[in-house]
Amino acid sequence: MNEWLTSFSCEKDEDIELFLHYKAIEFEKLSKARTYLVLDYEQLENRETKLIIYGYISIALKVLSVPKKISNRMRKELDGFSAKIHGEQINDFACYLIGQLSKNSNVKSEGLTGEQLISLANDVIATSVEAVGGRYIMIECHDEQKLIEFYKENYFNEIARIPDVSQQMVQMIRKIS
Amino acid sequence: MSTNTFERKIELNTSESIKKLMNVMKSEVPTRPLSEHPFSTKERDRSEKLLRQYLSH
Repeated sequence: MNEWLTSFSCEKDEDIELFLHYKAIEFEKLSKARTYLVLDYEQLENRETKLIIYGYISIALKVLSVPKKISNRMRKELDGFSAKIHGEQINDFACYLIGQLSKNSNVKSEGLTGEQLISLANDVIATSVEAVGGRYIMIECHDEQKLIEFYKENYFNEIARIPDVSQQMVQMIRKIS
Repeated sequence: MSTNTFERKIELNTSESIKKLMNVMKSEVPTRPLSEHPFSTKERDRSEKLLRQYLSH
């Protein structure tokens, strides 16, 4: 399996590539994230010699925290129901995180688009929302206009910028209910 | 995307970030449904079974 996963490449972002090569299985075992590979059913069913990974997504649960200084009115707006629970201020809000999302650079196919990958992530999240609820989806992307525009087109809004190892990351959120 | 995102605490600290978040929260939920085809347990089971069979081939 590990060797097969190394057939995936992401030329634009090495972190995305290395995550699938070395972290995805470990995260799966620890239930830190779930990774979904985009494969071809026909190739799978026919057990073709070369099974191509067209792309992948990784989804996790995260907590979005806000400072204690914000007003109860804002806190209630975020929670959707109340600013406090058992007299304690609510500072943490659950959200889904699309932690990784990418096409395979080694596959020179026009078959899979970024929109389709987002749509697949939404299909997975929608099932969880039906089962347990949830109000927000988050992503973090590199500070590149093309990427930011892509996520905006898919209903995400920028809320913050934070430093990361090599460059600034843009945090974006989508309200889903 | 960054693997660090899975590990770090997501915390909004600046008033600008809070303001932006509030604007999102006050906005309407997109009219287009999140998903027109939620990923069912049946589909998941079928996919996992096929992949397991393929990898053991």
